Amino acid sequence: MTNRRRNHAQAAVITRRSKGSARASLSSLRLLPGSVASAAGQQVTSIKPTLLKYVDLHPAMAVLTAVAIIALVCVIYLSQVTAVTNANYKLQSLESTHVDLQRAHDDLQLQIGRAQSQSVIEAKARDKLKMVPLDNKYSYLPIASGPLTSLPPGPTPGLPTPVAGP
Amino acid sequence: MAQTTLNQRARQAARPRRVDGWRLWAMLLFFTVFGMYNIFTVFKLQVLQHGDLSAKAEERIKWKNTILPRRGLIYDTRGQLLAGNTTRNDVYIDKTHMQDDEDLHALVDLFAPELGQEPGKMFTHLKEAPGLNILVASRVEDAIADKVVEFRRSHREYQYSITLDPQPLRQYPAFGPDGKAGLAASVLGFADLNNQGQYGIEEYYNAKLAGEAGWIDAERDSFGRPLALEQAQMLPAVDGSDLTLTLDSGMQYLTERELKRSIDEFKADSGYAMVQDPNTGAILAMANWPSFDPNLYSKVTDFNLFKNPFVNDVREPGSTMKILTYASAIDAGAVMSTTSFYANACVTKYSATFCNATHTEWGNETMAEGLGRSDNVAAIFAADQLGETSYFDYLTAFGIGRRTGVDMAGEVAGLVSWPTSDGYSPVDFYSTAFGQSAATTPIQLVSAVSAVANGGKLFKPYIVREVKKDGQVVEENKPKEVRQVVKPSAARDIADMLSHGVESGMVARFAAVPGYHVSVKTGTAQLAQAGGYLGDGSFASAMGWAPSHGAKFTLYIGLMNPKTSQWGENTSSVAWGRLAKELLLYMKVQPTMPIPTPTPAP
Repeated sequence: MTNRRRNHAQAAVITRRSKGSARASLSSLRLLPGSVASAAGQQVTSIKPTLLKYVDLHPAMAVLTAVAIIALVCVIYLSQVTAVTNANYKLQSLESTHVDLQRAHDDLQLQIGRAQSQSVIEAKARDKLKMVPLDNKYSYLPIASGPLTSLPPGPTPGLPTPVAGP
Repeated sequence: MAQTTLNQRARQAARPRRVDGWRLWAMLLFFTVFGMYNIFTVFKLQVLQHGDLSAKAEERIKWKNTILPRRGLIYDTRGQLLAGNTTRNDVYIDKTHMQDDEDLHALVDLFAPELGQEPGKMFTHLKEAPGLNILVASRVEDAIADKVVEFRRSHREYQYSITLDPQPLRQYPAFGPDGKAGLAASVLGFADLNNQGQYGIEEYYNAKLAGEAGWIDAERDSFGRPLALEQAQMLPAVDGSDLTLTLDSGMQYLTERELKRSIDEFKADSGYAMVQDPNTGAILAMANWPSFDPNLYSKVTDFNLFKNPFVNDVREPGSTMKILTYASAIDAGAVMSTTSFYANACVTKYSATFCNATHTEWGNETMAEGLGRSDNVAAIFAADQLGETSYFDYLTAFGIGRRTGVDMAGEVAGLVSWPTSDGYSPVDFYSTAFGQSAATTPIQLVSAVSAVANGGKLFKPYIVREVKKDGQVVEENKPKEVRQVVKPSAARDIADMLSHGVESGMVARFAAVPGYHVSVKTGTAQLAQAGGYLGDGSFASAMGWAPSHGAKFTLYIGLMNPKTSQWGENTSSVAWGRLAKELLLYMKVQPTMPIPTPTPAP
């Protein structure tokens, strides 16, 4: 006898029993309208054999299986939560990097500002480049207004006069 | 029988094997007990201990914090950074993990020296401060923050008791001529640890610079990281706007350097100087010395250093006021530059006798000579010719005794004895004409003189050129002409009269700049006190513009109580000439007169 046939046989017995008990319950449901009570009884009798048709579990095993399924769902949920949390930490880390870069940018701006500070430039000019204040040691060169072509041709001041070759 | 037994065995073998029932029941019982235990534990935690635990959780994992915005930056007109931001850490000690005073003592004894603090003081602070998470050091240097991190690493038991909280800190990178004080410190002011601007531009533009703080209300883990599972409620911070000033840091530096040099050379107590573009009212440089380092504002003990004397103080202008007196009189046609009169050493008006500084009887004197010699008697003559009512109308038009509306914090109006004022005497009219009986802010005086320098137009002074948000200009200050005070011809006459005084060896001769016509007037004012003047000491000043025609800048220098000479003639005007020469060179203004050939260095 296959398992399925055995289940069918058991189901048939259960159906017979349940029909009997359904009759009993129908008789105990006299307060209800007859049509409703009979409909409820029909539902139970039609579902129960179908549910048990393919299931052959010890009740304790059924409970344990249910616990295992719930545990599995919990594990899946936890893994999802962990994934989200890890993603959050990654995001936090990126934000932290962004903040660090922003800070580095601000500090670089300040460094540039300090380097451009005239007191720093003057100190470097005096100490490193040995520059001295201009004082009166400068003069303006008078430049004739107008295009350069209007200037009379002549040797460039300050350059040696070209000498003809031998 | 045997067949039956075989059949039974075969049937039994054909049955699927089933787990023995008692084992399943045992497992079920175990899980039931375990489950019940868990349910009880959850019930105990969630229901019985709910109040205590939720309060503790609230304290430990709830994170309510203010998100500070990034304060806007301040640049000079050339784009050089004058005020920026950095990040420093606040150090907190969390008392939650301390069981008793002994624990706290143990921590403090080890940790306080890392911060350079006394353990006893830190312990008292921790004991007395309300709350559990106590701030023990603000905005510590990076080196100290590194020490704290190292301490936490080496003392694992305290790693959750000590926390570092990064916070923004305002920094002023440009330094003045001594390499210590901040460039334009009193102009900029400073921002405190609460991101509030104090004094100067930082205070006046605080609403724009500060931005808007945000907040976050979230749960965090033991490392202080916000938890993603609980939706954080937050309002992001809005960063502040950046400012671009009209101030030129190059000119500012030259001005501060010359001011410091002059104070040292003439042994003055203090001094201030300002450079303004007379054609727009833009402030190009504004300095006072001694100054302070805005990065270390909390260490400053003399709070007067924070003030900007150009807008916060009033002072009798002295003879520099005569520029306005003569300009008014000439504009009204009451006198001309060539108008002459007999100049005695003193003149008596309403029983008050006024004398010129040297008590010299100059005899016949033109207005140009009177201005060049800084003769009080000549100024009184010019004012008398103009008349009391007209004179005060001109002063009003020049903006004297009224706030200029410059965009700097704490501007005061000044004190002028108007004909409508209580206790006014006609004597005040004459004394005001040569610079006494009236106390003006220096910025009023500079703006009024700039009006003469540019041909008669009074401009509203301003120091912020642009307000930028995310790189876009959202507000722009443009030159604002207030009114035409005097005619261009009158302004031109004054420019010539003053430059004549400089070039003909009169009082402002030391302000001469080779190669340029400059218009300068010196001033020497007695130091006023309640009910009169101090017996000694003076305020020596020099006011003028360059070049005389087509002015590029108005320059005002004032020295407080110079000891080498009390006169502006020998002190401030010297500084004026030196600084004007550097400014003309800096601004690449071509000379209009031949410059003497420089003497070669030996």
